[in-house]
Amino acid sequence: MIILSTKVKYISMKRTYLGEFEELVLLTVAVLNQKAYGVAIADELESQTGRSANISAVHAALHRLEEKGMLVSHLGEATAERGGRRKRLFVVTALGGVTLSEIKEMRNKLWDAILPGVLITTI
Amino acid sequence: MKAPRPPRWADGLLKLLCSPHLLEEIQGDLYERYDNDLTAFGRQEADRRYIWNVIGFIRLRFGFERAGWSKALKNHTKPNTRNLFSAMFTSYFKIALRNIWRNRTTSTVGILGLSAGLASGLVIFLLVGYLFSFNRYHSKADRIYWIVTDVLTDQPRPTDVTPRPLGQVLRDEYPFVESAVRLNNLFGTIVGIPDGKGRMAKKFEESRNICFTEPEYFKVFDTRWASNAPQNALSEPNTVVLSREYAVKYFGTENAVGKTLRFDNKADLTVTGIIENPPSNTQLRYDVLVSYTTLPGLMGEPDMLQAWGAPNTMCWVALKDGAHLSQLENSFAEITRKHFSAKEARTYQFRTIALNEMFHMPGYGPAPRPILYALIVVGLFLVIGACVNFINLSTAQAIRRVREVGVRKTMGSSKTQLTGQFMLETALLCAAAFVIALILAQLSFPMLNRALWMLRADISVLHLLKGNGILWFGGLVLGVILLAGFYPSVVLARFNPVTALKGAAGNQKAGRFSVRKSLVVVQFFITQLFIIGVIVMSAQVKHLKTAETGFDKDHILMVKMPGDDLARQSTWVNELSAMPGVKRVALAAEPPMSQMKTDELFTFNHRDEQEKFPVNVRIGDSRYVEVFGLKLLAGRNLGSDDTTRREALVNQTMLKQLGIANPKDILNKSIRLWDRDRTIVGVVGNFSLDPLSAGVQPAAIVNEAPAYTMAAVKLQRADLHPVLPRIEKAWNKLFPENVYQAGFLDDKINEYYATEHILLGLIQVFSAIAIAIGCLGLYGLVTFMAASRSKEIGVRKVLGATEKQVVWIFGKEFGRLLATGFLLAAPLGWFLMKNWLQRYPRQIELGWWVFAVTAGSVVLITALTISFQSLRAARRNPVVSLRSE
Repeated sequence: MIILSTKVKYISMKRTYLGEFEELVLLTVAVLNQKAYGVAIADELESQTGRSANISAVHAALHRLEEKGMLVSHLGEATAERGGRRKRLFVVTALGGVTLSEIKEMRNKLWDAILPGVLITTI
Repeated sequence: MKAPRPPRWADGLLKLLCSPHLLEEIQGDLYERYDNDLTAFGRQEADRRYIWNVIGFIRLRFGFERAGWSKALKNHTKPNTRNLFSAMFTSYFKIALRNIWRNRTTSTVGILGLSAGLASGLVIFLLVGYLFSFNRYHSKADRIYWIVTDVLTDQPRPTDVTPRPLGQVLRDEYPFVESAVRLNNLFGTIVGIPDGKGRMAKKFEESRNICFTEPEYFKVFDTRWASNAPQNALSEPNTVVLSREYAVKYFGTENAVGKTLRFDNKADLTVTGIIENPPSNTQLRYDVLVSYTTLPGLMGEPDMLQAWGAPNTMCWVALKDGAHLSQLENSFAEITRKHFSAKEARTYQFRTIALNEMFHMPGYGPAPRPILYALIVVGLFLVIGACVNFINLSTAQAIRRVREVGVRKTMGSSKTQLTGQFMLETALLCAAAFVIALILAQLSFPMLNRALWMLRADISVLHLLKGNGILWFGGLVLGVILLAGFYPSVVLARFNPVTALKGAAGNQKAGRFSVRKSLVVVQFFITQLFIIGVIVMSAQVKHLKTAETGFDKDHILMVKMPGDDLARQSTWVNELSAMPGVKRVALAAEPPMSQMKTDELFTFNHRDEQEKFPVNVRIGDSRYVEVFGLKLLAGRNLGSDDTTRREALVNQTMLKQLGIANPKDILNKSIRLWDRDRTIVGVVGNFSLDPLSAGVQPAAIVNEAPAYTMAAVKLQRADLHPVLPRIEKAWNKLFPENVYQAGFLDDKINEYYATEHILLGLIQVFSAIAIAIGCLGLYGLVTFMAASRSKEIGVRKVLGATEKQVVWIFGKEFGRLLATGFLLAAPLGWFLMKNWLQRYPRQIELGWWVFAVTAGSVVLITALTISFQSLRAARRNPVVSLRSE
C-alpha cells in the first residue's frame, strides 16, 4: 500500500513539474504563437527577460518539454536565409497549457497568502 | 561576393556532436544566429560565438542519449540515418568505458605513465618552440640582418658592433636597404626621477634593457604603441620612449608622456612616447629607448656619429622586399674601401647574422641549435618511452580478453571492426592521459619560467594555440594514439577464435612476443642513455665548480661604485677598511674570473711588432693580489704608491707564451699596453680567467685608477650579517645619487654556470621520469610473463625446480634484454657525451666507471621492479596453476 501511494504521488508530481528555464521556454513558445523555433525563442527570451540564452540550452529544454508532452513539433518550410534548412516549429499542447496555468494558479495562491507589508516589492 | 561562412571545422564538429536526425534544424538555427552575429559584431566575434554554440551542443548529445530519445521524434525524421557504424560505435564506447573501469588499476598505471611521458614531452616541445620563436615575430624578420665586425688579428675576435656611421651610410646610399637602425646597449645606468625640488624622488639602476637608438627602430622592428604613435619619436636629442611597464615603474602611471627623467645624473630626458611591453620572445628587450642623437651631447664629442674606426655600435638592416643578402654583403667591400685606412681595412671585416638565426648563433645567442635538437630528441625519447610502456601494459591486458575476441569473431565481427574497437579504447585512455599531461605541464611551467628568468620566459600551455602549435600537438595526439593503440589492437584482433574460445591462445603465443621484447630493449636503451647523461653532466658541472681556480672566492663582497670620482673612491676604501668585520679592501674593474672579454694586444720589451697573441687584462690596485689570494711567484706586488700607472704583474702562461723559462728573467722588462709602457714587477701563479676554460691564457694585472668600478671587500669569516647593512649604509651616505649594488663573488661565479644548471636540472627530472616509466613497463611485462607462463612454472616446480631457479628464469630473460639495451646505449651515450664535453676546455675523463655505474644502477632498479612479481610466481603452489583443467 505504501509503495503504491508513493508511486501515485510521484506521477502527480511529475505532471506539473517544470524547471524554471523550461517554464520560461514554454511560455515563450506560447508567446510566439505558431512561429516558435530555436533561435526565435532564444531571441524572444533575451528581449523579454534580459538574460541571454544559449541556443543549445534552448534546444535541450525544447526536447525535454516535448518528451514530457508539453509541446508538439513539426518541420516547417525551407527558407533561404538558413541555407535552405527547415525549422522545427513548436506548439504548446493542452497538457502544456494546463501545466502552465496550474503553475500560475499555485503562484497566485502563494501570493495571496502573503500578508500585506511582509514583502518589500519596490526599491 | 560570397557571404562569409562559419569555420568549416566547427561544422564538422557539429556533425560529430549532433545526432544526425537533428542536424538540419540545429544547423539552421546556428546559421541564422551566425548571420545575425555577423552583422552585429563582425566576422571574428561571430566565428567565436558560433564555435561556442557548437560546443554547447555536447550536452544535447550526451544528455539525450542517456535520457533515451523520444521515439516519436526519431520517427518523423529520416529513420535510417543512424547507421550501423554509429550504433556499433556507441556499443564500443560503452564497452571501452566498462573495460577501463574493470581494469582500473592497470588503466590508471597506463594513463599515469603515458601522461608523465607526454607532459615531459609537452614541456620540452613548448620550451623548444619558445626558444625557436625568438625574434621571429617581426613582420620583416626574414629580411632583417645584424651586421657585426670581426677584428682580425692572429686570433680573430668576433664583436657584436660596427663603426658608428655604417648604419647611416647603408640607409642613405644603398637603395636595396629599406631601413637601418643603430643601437647601443647600456649597462649600469642610473635613472632618476626628479621630485621637482632639484633632488631625485626615486632612482633605479638599469642594465641591458636600456639603449640609445634611432627613430628607424620602429621601422625595422615591430613595436606596438600603447598610445597613438607619436610623430618623430626619438628624433630629437634628450628624448626617451618607455615601455608601459617602465612608465608605471618610474612614474606610477601609464600616461607619462611629457614627464622628465634624469639620465645617469647627466642629462634630463623627456618622455615622448609609450610602447607596449616587448614580448618575452625578443632578444631586443628594451624598456627605455633613449634617442641616439642624445649621445654626442652626453659624451661631449659632437663628431662621434661621423667617426669611422673602431666598431662600437650595433647595427641592424632591413632589406627591401626582394633584395638579396649578397647585395648587402657586396656593399661591404666598397664601404671598407671608401671609409677605412689600409690598416683598418685589413683589421675590420663586416659579417651579417640573420635576425632569425641570431638567437641560435654560438656567442651571440643562448640557444644553439644542437642543444635545441638534442632537447627535441630527449622529448621524443620520453614520449616514445611512454608509448612503449603503454603498449606493454595493454598487450599484457589483451590476454584477458581472448574470450571476448573469440565470441565477437564467432558472431561475425571483422578484424577491422575489432581493431577499431581496441583503437577506440586506446584513444579514450590517451585522451585522459593528454588532459592530465596538459595539466601537469601547466603546473610545471612556473618552475621552468623561474629557472629561465633571464629570458623573462612566460611559457604556458596556451602557446599551443599559437602559430602551428595546434598542428604539431594534433600530430602528437594522433601519433601517440596510433603508436600506442595499433600494435595491441592488432594483437587482439588476430587471435584465432577457435583456440581463443578453448582458452589456449594466451599460452600459445606467450613465448615469442618478440615485438614486446624489442620494446623493452628500447626502454632499457632510453633509460640507460638518460642515466649516462645524468652521470656525465653532474660530474662535469661538479668538476667545473670545484676545479682549482687559482684564486680565493670565499667571503668576498663585490660592491659597485661610480667610476669617475677618484677622491671619493679613496674615501670609500678608507671607510671600508676601518669597519669592523672587514679584512681588506681592493679597488678593481673585475674579479679574476669574469665573463667580460678583456683581451688586449700589447708590445713586449720594446719590440718593433705587437705580439701575436693578446693578453687578458685585469685592472686592480696594490691590494688586488692579496684580496683574491693570488700567489706571487717572483718579484713584488704592485706598489701602493704607483700613481703613475707604470707597473704590471703577469701570470705564468704569459711567460710560457713569450718563451721565458725563469720568472726572474721577465722582471723589469717593459710591456706596452693601451699606449703606455709599464714595467713588469712581479709574476703571479695562473688563475682561471673565464668560467668555462682552464687558466691557460696569458694574463696581466695593471693599476688603472680611472677604470675602477668596484670595491672587492674581503670579509671576516665569522659573522657576515652585521657587516652587510653597515657597508650599504656607508655607501648610500657617500654616493647618494647612485644605487647600491653588491654581491658575493662565489654567487656570481655560480651564476656563470646557469646554463649548465638548467640543463642538468632538466636532464635529472626527465631521467627520473624516464626511469619511472621504464619501471612501469617492466612491471607490466613481468606481470604478463608470470601470468602467461604460470603453467610452465607449475610443471617445473612439480619436476623439482627450486624457487631460485624459477626466479632465475625471469632474471635471465630480463638480463638479456638489459644487456642488449646497454650495448646499444653505451656507444651512443659515449659519443653524445664526448661531443657535449667538447664545449669545455676543462673536462672530465669519460672513464669506464660511468658505464659501470649506469649498468649497475639499471640492474638494481630492474631487480627491484621485477623481484616482487617473479618471487610471487615462484612461490605459487603448482597445484593452483595446474589444476584448471
